[in-house]
Amino acid sequence: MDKDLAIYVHWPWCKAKCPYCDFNSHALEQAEGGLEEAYVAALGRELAGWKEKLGGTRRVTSVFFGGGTPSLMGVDSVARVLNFCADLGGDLTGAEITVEANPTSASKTLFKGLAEAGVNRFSVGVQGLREEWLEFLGRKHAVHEALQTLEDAMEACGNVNADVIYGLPGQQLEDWTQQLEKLGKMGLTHLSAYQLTIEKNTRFFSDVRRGLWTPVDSDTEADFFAATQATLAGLGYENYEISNFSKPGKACAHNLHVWRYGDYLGVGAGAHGRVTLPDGHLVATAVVRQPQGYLTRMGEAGEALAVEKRLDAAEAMQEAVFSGLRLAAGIDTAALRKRFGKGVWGLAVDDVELARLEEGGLLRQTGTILALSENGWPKLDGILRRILPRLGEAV
Amino acid sequence: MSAQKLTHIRNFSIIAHIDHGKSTLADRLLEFTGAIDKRTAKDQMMDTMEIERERGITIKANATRMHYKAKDGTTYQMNFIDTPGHVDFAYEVSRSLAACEGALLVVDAAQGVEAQTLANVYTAIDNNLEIIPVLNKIDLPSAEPEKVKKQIEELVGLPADDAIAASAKTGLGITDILEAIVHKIPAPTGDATAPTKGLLVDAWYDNYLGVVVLIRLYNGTLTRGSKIKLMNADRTYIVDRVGVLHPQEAQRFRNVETLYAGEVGVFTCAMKEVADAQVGDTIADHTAASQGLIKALPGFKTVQPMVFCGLYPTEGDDYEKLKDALAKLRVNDTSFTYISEHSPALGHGFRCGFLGLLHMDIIQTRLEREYDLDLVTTAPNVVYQVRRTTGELIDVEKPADLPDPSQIAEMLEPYIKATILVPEEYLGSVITLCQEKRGVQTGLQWQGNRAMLSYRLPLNEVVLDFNDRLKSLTRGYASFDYQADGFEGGDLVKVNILINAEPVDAFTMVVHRAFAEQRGRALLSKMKELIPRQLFEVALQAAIGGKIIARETVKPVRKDVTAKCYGGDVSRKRKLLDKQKKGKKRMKSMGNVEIPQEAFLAALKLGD
Ligand SMILES: Nc1nc2c(ncn2[C@@H]2O[C@H](COP(=O)(O)OP(=O)(O)O)[C@@H](O)[C@H]2O)c(=O)[nH]1
Ligand SMILES: C[S@@+](CC[C@H](N)C(=O)[O-])C[C@H]1O[C@@H](n2cnc3c(N)ncnc32)[C@H](O)[C@@H]1O
Ligand code: SF4
Ligand SMILES: [Mg+2]
Repeated sequence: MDKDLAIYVHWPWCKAKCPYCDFNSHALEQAEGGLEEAYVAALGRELAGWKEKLGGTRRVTSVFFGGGTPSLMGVDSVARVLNFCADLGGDLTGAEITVEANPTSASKTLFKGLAEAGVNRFSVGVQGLREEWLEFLGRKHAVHEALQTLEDAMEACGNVNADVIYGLPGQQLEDWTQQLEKLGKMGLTHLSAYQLTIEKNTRFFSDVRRGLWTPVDSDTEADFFAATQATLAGLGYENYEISNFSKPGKACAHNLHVWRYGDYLGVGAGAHGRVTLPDGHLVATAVVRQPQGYLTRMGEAGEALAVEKRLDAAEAMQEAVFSGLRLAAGIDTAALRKRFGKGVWGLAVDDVELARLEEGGLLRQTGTILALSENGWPKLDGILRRILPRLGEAV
Repeated sequence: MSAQKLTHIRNFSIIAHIDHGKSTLADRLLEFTGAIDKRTAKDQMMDTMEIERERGITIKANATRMHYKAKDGTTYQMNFIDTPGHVDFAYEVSRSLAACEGALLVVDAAQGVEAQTLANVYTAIDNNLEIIPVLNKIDLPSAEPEKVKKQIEELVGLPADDAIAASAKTGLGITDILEAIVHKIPAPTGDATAPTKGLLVDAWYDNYLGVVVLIRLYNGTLTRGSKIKLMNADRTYIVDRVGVLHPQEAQRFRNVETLYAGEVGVFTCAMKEVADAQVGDTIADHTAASQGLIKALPGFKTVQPMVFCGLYPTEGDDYEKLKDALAKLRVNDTSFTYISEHSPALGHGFRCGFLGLLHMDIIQTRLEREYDLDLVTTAPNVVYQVRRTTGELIDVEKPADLPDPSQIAEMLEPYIKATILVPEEYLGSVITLCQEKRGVQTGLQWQGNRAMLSYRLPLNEVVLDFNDRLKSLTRGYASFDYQADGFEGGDLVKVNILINAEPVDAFTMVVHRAFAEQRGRALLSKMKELIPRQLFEVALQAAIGGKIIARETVKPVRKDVTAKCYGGDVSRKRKLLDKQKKGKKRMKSMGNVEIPQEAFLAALKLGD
């Protein structure tokens, strides 16, 4: 197998749960003795198990520590996990290694230590640069702390991202672009700017349902998105994915790989993966979500997959289209046909609809490349609903 | 049993507004005459269908026989025919009343006369029935017998001096009522030795007995083996069972040897379908009828549905289930019609015809309740008569089926005679409503501080929202009733609704030219609210022929995208899209507009 592999490592704990967040993250003030140790050991067993399943090493091109709040891990733990990854990949030379960090749990020392352990990219949860927005978002840090964390991260390594959220009720467009400019001028290589989404099973969801406040409408969302694109373009950032902006050449290699539907392993509680097995089958995997359940399963069975499902070619094709169209570069339809089979395209994608949307200016095809137009990008979900028929139904 | 002397028979029915106490009074009469055993009796003995008990309305005619030993020492056979009380069933009511010599006019002494009562009283008077006014609920402290007597005299035009004060609840006055039936209502006339002749009052299907026919016999006898002819249907049958109805018998059926002239009873005759037993038909001795010795009874007609709507299952899979249910309901109710139809917006369903709005409501409710169906109902419309330029007169039951305007010489719409009783303070607004609905006032009478308004109105305007508007204008204090009153020409136009320039059948309407623009605009603005914004702009138009009379635009959505989607989310997010897709009706024919079925429904329900 010569397919490159990306590895996602999930750390399921945070100091506190943010009211908008539906990630697999669980509040944990202070890791009790032995928990971190046990979790890291479990990750090691998982990765060893994968090595066996994959029948040898595969080149690992990226490792991403996501969460939750992986900056709560000690440097030693991160280093150990990287060793497990290196074992699977031969070595990690040239790999992009990212750790997500929360301002409440990151220090100069931590960033330095991590960088020494091989981490070469940091992603900091800044979320906003006004105290009132941080408060609304239930964040436990002040603006100056977030800025300090960014400085510390940049000092330790030159490749840093900031996560920010826009479209908060009552937020003014000028305030938002001002914040963005301030961040953009700090020399960050990357910015992830997310429209606030009301997710089920969050406190914001019940707030909204109870009528405590109203999310912004889609017209306002569109205005914010356009302003974000314009502001960041002016500062030299490329909008390479709907919510992601980078300086040239600094796109997140790990996420790019995932959007391009390359193979990725997901280890740790609740992590998802897509891996091509030596027999050629593509499997979708998901690990048990609850951290405690994960640890128990790992202890008892040596593995903890809740889902391990072979994807048929049409399903895989749809997923590839689904994630690939998030990218400005779009998808290479010829490459997909080649990978999943010529006839599969017709099952997975409704060409009549495609043509209609292209005619309407929402999509464009250049040679074998299919990408959304500038106009179509903010409507990706609506477009996908049209062009991806429900599988198993008559197309 | 031998032939009763006709002088000992009384046939009667009860006319009452809903809730004035008809069912309770019937219970008391059955009890007082010993027809039912009080210990095993339930309330509202005469209502057999669940929906009848629940809504307090009578849908099918029913009858029962009692024996009353009067103060004069004689025992009388009393046949009570329970009639449906609503105007939608006006024809059935008229036949039930035609089978009687008298009727009790029951008026709630606390509420007074209501509009619904009037139409039925007039039918009774037309049929020469002796009418006995009864002031019910006299036990209530709020009862005002003197005032109500005056109303009966002035509004109904009947002497009410010796109206009987009664309470169906406490039993007060029940004996007086029974005595009045004996002394005031004439005995039937007829000749038991003459060839058999009777009126078909109603019929229903019974799982054990098959088709059961309710009959009032005028001449001759009916017994097992009688060979009879249904004169209008022109069919011959051999009677295999004769009986009378009784609420406490199994299948309500009590066998008797023979039915005699003057009596009311039931029979079975291996009839296949209820549809073969048309209400109002004449049942005659086969031989005599064949020799032309018997004249059919007057007043027979075939009822025609007046109000139409489309019924669609919410779940497309339920189409067959709906079809079955309609067939089953029609077994016992031949007055509604259905034919299958397809609408690009709503899928497969049926276009159904009903006698009126209540009838429509009853059928819908029964479909949903008894057959557990979830239905989409399109806005009701009336039947139109269209005279083509060729001179041919056709009935059009569905607005979309109207011929091209160039082929229409004249359009006729059904009218009604409406009677509205309304407290003085609301009179002004009710008159305004009637005018707005193109009504012509034909009468205004005062009774104390209530007015009795008579209007002639196009049924089209009434099915739209008249009842709801009337109720809300008068806070429920007005009572309204109507009778069909022929067809009349009108300046009517067909308004098409177009979505992205494609006409959508389900929304097509026929309206008076003067209202076309306003209705079209109202419908479009409602649709605009209901149709979710799409990838592309959606153009909504209302048009008369090629002329656009109103337009609206649903602007395209500007942002519809999942903000964060990383590896972990792909499968979940992918499934989410499928879920959003479900329940949205995609209409490929209309430039692919996605319209959720709820939006269609809500727009179709539009009342104003
Ligand atoms: N107080 C009182 N209530 C009555 C009397 N007759 C009927 N009712 C009540 O009035 C309501 C309607 O009676 P019902 O017999 O169902 O009326 P219907 O709709 O004409 O059949 C019921 O709640 C009865 O119990 C009466 O004489 N006095
Ligand atoms: C796993 S968190 C990253 C780091 C860390 N846990 C933190 O919050 O500081 C990923 C990012 O997704 C974004 N995010 C999470 N929930 C969101 C929501 N409901 N709407 C918009 N963005 C959200 C936040 O910007 C968050 O930083
Ligand atoms: S946003 Fe980050 S810190 Fe907040 S709960 Fe989610 S993962 Fe944890
Ligand atoms: Mg009743």
